[in-house]
Amino acid sequence: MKILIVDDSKAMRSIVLRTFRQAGLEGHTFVEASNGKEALDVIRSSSPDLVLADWNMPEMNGITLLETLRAEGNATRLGFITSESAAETKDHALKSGALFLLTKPFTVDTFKAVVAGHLA
Amino acid sequence: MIAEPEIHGIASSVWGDMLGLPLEAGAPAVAPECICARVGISGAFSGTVTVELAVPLARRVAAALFAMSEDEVSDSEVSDAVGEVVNILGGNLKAMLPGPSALSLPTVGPVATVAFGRLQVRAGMSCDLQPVWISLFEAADAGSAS
Repeated sequence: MKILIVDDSKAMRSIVLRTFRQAGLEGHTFVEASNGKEALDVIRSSSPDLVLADWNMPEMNGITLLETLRAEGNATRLGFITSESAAETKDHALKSGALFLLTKPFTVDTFKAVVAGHLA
Repeated sequence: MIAEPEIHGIASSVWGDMLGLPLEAGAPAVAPECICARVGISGAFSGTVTVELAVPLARRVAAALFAMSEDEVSDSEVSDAVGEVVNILGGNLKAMLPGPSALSLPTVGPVATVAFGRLQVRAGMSCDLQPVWISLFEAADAGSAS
């Protein structure tokens, strides 16, 4: 699968990539974007199979990215990996069509439990 | 109201799960040069979450997040890493406060000499004998209209 990791923190993108390896979720190709606007360009041009996006980012946040995709009829699968954990945030994400909302910090086991099922 | 043990619990998860570093309650009685990362909360609760780290510890945190040696991490990578730490702490603390509210993007710089509002709680911790201070301020004008 081609997986797009969207986070304004280079450190966080590094952790997500490392966690894939630590969880044994290998055999995928990864592309990165540092905000929702960049991600939108990547999604439109290269059609990733799965997007893992932060919520709070400059230029365009994660929920606006998701809502923009859905508004233009783009059904690219997207899950959030974010420090946001409030119930209303999770509710907003799921109602907007997100696959999941994984809250930071996470363990390798938690990451695997949430993400692995969406890699088929 | 959020208390020191709750902040320590969140911070311990960040240090343990993501950094692989120890974190003990109670700050050591030293006052090294620190850097400060902060993130704002606005909404039903408005305020600021700050994290102050001894400069060498900030570099160690960045090294842990980037899986690099402390000598290899750049200043921008240190800012990125410490900013991400306060972003995670802020997001988790926000969920424990009255909502709905929004989290700002983090900023990183020297320790501020001005207060960010009314101090609600300040939790001191120690990572390998270097201090970590996490504070929650409520905006000074919060609640003035009610």
